[in-house]
Amino acid sequence: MPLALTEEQSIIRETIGKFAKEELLALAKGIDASEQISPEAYSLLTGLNLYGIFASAESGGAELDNLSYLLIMEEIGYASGTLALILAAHNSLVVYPLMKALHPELKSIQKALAQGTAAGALAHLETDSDLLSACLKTQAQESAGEYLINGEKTMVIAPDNTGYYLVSAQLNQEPALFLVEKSAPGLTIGSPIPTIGARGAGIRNLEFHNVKTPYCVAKGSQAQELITDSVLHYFLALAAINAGIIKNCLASATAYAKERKQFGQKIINFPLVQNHIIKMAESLQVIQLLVHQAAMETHPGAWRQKVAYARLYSGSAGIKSAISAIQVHGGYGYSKEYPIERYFRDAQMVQSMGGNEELAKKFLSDVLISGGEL
Amino acid sequence: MKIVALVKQVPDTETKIKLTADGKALETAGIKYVVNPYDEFAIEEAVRIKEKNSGSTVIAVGMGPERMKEALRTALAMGADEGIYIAEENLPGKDGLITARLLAEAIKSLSPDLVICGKQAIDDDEGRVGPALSHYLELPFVANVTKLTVESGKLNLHRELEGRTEVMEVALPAVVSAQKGLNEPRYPSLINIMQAKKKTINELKPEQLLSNDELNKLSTLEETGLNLPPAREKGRKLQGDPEQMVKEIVTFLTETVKIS
Repeated sequence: MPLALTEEQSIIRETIGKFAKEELLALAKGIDASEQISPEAYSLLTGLNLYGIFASAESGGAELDNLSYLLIMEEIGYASGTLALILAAHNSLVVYPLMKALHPELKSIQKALAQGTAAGALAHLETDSDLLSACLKTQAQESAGEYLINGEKTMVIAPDNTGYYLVSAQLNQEPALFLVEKSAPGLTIGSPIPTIGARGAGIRNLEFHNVKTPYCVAKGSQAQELITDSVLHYFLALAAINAGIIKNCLASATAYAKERKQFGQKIINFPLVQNHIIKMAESLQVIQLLVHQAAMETHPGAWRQKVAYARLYSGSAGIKSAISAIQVHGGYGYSKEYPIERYFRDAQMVQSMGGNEELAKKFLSDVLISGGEL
Repeated sequence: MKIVALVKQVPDTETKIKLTADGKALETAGIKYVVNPYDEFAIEEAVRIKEKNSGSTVIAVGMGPERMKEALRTALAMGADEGIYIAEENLPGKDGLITARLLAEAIKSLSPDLVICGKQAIDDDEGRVGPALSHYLELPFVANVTKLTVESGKLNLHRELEGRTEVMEVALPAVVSAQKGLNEPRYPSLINIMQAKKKTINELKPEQLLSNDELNKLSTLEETGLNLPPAREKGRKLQGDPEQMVKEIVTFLTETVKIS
């Protein structure tokens, strides 16, 4: 662990790490195979307040700091990519912007979300836009104190326990964010799209036909900023999740290499195997540093850049480490007998569900082109 | 009820043990410390008794270096109400009796109804502190408890022995040590971890509990050195005629291993 932690951060990491290894790791294989998260798994997560990690104490959250949140994501990522992804999407993409929105009428919903009685999902991505942009086709119209929403959203991370959707749409040619209940008439919730990794996370498409809601969370530049900050907050959580996946790849590959004998000796003695292992350890160390550096940054502009670096590095490092772990396992690494193939599929989740790598590159290039320092 | 749970911090079971260059102590760099697993059973049981008996309090008590406070804080996150930390400094030696005596001095003034400790710490495996503490407190002691129920002024206890269960009854106040199986320790929730921050840990120094003279009298053990177990010798593989191989094995067992 690169940075010194406070007593609470250290206890949190210790507790969640133990919980992830002893409880969640055993569930991960089943979640992946069945593409289902059981009610028991959800209640394990809510029991430890993982749906309200940084939500206010008033709403039933734990009010943790950013670094604690990322340490938690790393520990859960170690055990299950799916569970880590749904928690990151809920906390970063819904609880986080709603906290900043400070909408008094939303208090009871904020409470339900923080306590995990209902999960939240951000419905933002459209086929013709990316996660950071706001060129939306989904439209909202104000009528008699309510809003009518029409449009389509894609790749929404909405597991079965989702109760609320945070929806972006154009209102009077400006971006705005709305909160919609899952049972709202006119909302069609698609079946989960089968995915390579993060199976069971309930990634799906949504259609809105004259969906009514009284809740407008933010409008105009405030809405745009909330979306950008939440998405970056989520990118950073994904980087931390990849640190967890790499940590498991490293641990599994090292343990296997110390056991497995070939050509009369343990394969850990072969420099080419050691090279795979050292590369994984190096990636883990770098991601942890990048994530922690971003977590501690307080200046908004600098924070965005540091998040972009963490996202950029962790995406490819995760997938490379998973491939290394497969290589160390030889032919067995390609089989479903060993869990490495799941880590490999889940590592790609960060590349595919965390905006693509090019988005982070574009973000940093824009800073450079506009004369900023990288 | 007032319940005291004893807490010790130990290296994580996955830690690779190394010695310092002079061979006198464990190399502490890179060690991850956790709450002694048997103490987790003790804390959990204390908290469960508290939850069943309203108006009860649980006090977590521990001794050790500064980092020990994190283990106490974990006990508070699991549900203990307050902590007492005894600094491990200016002691005449490292001896379980000194630890037990200092703990007894700190606990005596609390007049607890029940003291629960782990059956042993998994680092030195001495298992001395619990029994010695009961001696200094002049209280009955029951070791290796796997089931515990409180009933008006007494405890009903189960102890798992080989092939049977010993059922016992003991009057309160008493000291008991927890064995695996007593319960399933909870994971403290994030909210409880944050709330533990607001609970008090009272700090005591050994000299506040006992005079130097008394401490010196207790120091009977001196640790002269630590050795890692010898590395396992390489095995030998026999080949050839089975009859000849059996003879070789028998000779090896009787002459080298000296099995009689």
